[in-house]
Amino acid sequence: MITLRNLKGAQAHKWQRISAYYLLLYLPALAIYLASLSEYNSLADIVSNLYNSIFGIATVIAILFVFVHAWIGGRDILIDYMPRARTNFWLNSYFFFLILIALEFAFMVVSLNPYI
Amino acid sequence: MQITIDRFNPESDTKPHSQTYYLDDSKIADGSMLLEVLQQLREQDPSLAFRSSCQEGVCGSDGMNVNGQNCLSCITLAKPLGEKIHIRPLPGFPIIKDLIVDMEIFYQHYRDVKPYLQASTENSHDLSQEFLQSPEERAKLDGSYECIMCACCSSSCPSFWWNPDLFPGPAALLASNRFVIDSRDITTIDRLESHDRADNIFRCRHIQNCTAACPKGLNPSQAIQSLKHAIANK
Repeated sequence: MITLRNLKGAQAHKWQRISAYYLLLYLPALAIYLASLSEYNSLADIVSNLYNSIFGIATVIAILFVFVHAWIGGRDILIDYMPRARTNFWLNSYFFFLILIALEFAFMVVSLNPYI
Repeated sequence: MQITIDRFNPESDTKPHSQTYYLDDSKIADGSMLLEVLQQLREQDPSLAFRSSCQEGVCGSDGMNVNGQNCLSCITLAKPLGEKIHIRPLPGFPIIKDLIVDMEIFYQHYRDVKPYLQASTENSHDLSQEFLQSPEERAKLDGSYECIMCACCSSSCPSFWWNPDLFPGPAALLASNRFVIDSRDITTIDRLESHDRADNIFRCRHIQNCTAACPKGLNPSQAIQSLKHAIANK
């Protein structure tokens, strides 16, 4: 169980920064990648290409970092604004909510794979 | 001059209310401090309660919120505040009466950071032994030890308002940093680890209200940044 007392500060601070820097590099790269695609590419082709390129791996890492960033940012908001009596409940609920979205994402990655 | 003061008497009031006083401008000289205005008002209304002691910005007992800005009334000129002045108690603290607040939680956070030197035990029993520092090491402490504990910084900090029992506040963190950077202190790692929690120093968002409010011109925000840097790199 996640409790307010056992959440570390420095570790979260570092991961927040690492994920922010990565996304700062990734998002312009994503824009350039999309701009460089042929005008007549379908969405299915774009998704299919992601499974064949290094950029696809970079995209998976970026989405993982979005989860890390969202966890730390959301966690801090909950600590600041939630009534103390229910902070631990909301922290755990938020964490499991993110886990569910991550599982959904993993399912999507597998199900969209054109090679399976 | 119109002065509105937020008042609260726990013996007779259920919630704070504003009371407006008027003072003849001729009674306020160009160099009059706000504290003198309050003293004149107390002559009008002896029930008005506020703290003051040294009356020269050293003791830090007369911190209050004036026109939305925390300050010490004894070193704040009255005239530049305008014709209408609104005085409130320091935000974020329980009110004892009128402008007097209960600062116990503020002092508790200060005690919790152990604001005293913890030097090597080798020399601590020998009272004739000095803990020497180089002039450069001593110079690092400038801007860290001058705090007068008026609480103007902590009571202007939203992070302190949100989590007053967990977040130590700028004054306590400034004191903590003062001993972290002290070359004679040997408990640096312990001090840093005591702050390494999500509900402690990392609640600071560096909005710099503390630095803007400090009547001594100190920079608690920079000290907190320095502490965070030290914790992240320990």
